[in-house]
Amino acid sequence: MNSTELKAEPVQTGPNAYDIGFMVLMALLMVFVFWLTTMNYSEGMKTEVAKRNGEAWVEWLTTAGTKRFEDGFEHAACAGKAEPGTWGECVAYIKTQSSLKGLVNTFFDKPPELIAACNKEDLSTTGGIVVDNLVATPPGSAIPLIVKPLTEDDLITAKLQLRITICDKGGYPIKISEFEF
Amino acid sequence: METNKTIYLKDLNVASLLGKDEEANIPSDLPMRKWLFSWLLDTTIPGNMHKTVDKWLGILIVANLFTLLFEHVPAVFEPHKAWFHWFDIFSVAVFTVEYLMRLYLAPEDPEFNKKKFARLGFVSSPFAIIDFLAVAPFYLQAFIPVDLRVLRALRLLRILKLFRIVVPAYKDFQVLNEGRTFRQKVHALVFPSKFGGELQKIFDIFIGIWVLLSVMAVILESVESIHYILNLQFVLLDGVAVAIFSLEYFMRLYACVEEPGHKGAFMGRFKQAKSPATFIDFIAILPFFLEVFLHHLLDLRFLRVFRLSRLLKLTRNSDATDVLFRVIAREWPIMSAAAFIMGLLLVLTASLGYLLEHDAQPEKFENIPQSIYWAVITLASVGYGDISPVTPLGRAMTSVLALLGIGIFAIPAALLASAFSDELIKDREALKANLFQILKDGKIVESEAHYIRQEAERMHLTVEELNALIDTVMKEKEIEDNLQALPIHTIAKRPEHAVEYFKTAISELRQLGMQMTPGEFEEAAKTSDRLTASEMALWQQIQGKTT
Repeated sequence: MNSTELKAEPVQTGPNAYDIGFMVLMALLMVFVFWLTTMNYSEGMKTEVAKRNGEAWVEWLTTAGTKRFEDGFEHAACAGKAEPGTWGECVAYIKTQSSLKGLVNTFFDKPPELIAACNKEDLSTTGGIVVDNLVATPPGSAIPLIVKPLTEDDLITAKLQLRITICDKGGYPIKISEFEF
Repeated sequence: METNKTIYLKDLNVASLLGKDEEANIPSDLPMRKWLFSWLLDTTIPGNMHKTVDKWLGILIVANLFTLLFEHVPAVFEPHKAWFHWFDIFSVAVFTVEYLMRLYLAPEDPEFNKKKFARLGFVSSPFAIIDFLAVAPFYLQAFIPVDLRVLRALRLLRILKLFRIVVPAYKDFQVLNEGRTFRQKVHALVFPSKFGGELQKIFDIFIGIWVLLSVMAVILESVESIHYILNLQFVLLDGVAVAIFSLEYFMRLYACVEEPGHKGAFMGRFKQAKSPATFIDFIAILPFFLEVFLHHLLDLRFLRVFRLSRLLKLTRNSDATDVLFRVIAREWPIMSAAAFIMGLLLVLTASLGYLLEHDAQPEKFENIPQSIYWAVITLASVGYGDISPVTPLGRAMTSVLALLGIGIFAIPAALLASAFSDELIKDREALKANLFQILKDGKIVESEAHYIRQEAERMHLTVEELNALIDTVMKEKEIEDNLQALPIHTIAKRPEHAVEYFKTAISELRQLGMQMTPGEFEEAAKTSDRLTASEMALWQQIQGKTT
């Protein structure tokens, strides 16, 4: 039988079974990437909520900071002339009675905790709020400020320079703002 | 689809062969409308402005997409509201001018000029409807109060204008791939080939844009203030980039079996997967998947920096990178020898530095590993100065070391430079040899023209350079044709000419034997005793009468 006797095989130009399999796999891959991106996005949203929480604290404390040394300041626990005038008293008031009482740390669906520092080894700090006290060093010092976390017993009877940081999903700090309280 | 266009040498125009005869030949005495159409929109006139018009419109459309995205980020949009507004006005102005121009020129367009009302034909064509929708919302808001979100959604329609570029490329791609299988079409889209056409170039540009976008995102993510504002946008951008790069990666793996040397469903794909370019593609998408799955086990934030490797994806389209790898591979034995000597020198120097300086500066030259840092900084002529010798012997040694460093570090650089130059010469010689074969029959068929174009592009040859190369080849061809007229000592200078000369001489001797009566030559040689035995044996051998 010579070659001319051979019938030409019809060429299939449309997708065959392998091609369709490939397309299905690609479609599944796209769905998978979409799903992962959605997951990342919702995690990102939680960080955004944490940032909004931090911003709300900054706004409240900044506003309070401008008036708290005036007589008749409405949030007595945070007033500059309060007795005993500790940060702990003020925080307790803010958490329970101020407009910030409804804030939620969406990583754990509970109110955001005020913590000493973010810790990537300890993911319970995720979504937490860190309030640092920035203490100016004497002129001529190598570093202009000393940063130390504000503790419950710290007095707030004088003006304070504060910095608020929140902790992201991985326990890394995200600086929100520095302000006067 | 391969055209059967043949170029004869007498008609050869290198600029035209390379597609660089950009001087459009449009008579200036044409009627205004025809003249404008010929310059701006006629796709059949090479060298006119239509490609430039398309390119800039394409850029403006993509820029519109980005402004639309950033309008959704209040932190970016609010402070720059005026800029966004003026950019929108500028875009609408350009798109409106484009629409009106196309409307005005419709009677010249072959697509519409056969219709009774050419402009009506244009207005009702899909592309014109898209063009209209791209600008209409802007004018609409002047008369009717439209919700900003609706307006933004309508402005998204501007993206559809890209169809004006993509659709013709797709049609061209379909023609080129008529009768080819699905996998071959995928191959034509993702791998450079003669079946890819304009669509393959668009695909490459699309991937390139996304590579640049995602790399820019990685860089900007490290800027705290930007990351703070655009965190979610970065997440979305990375998701889209990974989707695109994953699709590209698997398309390449699927279609690579169509590549020469990649036969076999498994082995071909395995070969492709372990190629550097495909490995880079894999590394480009891996961090995304790893981070999602393993973030709760360990901190994989460092993996994000590997997304910068996406930049290497751009090297796929660069032959210069191939040349670099080839050069390094070729010079590897010498370079590794240089590296070995460098290493040896480093260890010796660090040890000597430790011996000479340890007592004087125990805190700086604490041990040999610490001294290695000093040795590297000194040998490389960086000289930070944080560690420096103080003893006379240490300083003397450092002087010698610094001088040696110049030489030692110069060796690999010189090797690479010379190897690069060799590689380029080799490439040109290869092209010359192939041109010699191509020009032998006095004509250039389309496949040969395609090869010349491809090589000229790969080697970045200008029209003048290719012209010079072709001239050289033509001269050499002429010389070969007239080899017999050359003196022996000239032929002997070129071994390939000598071989050709030998072949011709043998062929002529064979013809001589064929012209004579059998035995006549031998008889004459014997009677007059003109030939030696070995000469006679050689004659017999040439005539195919081996004894």
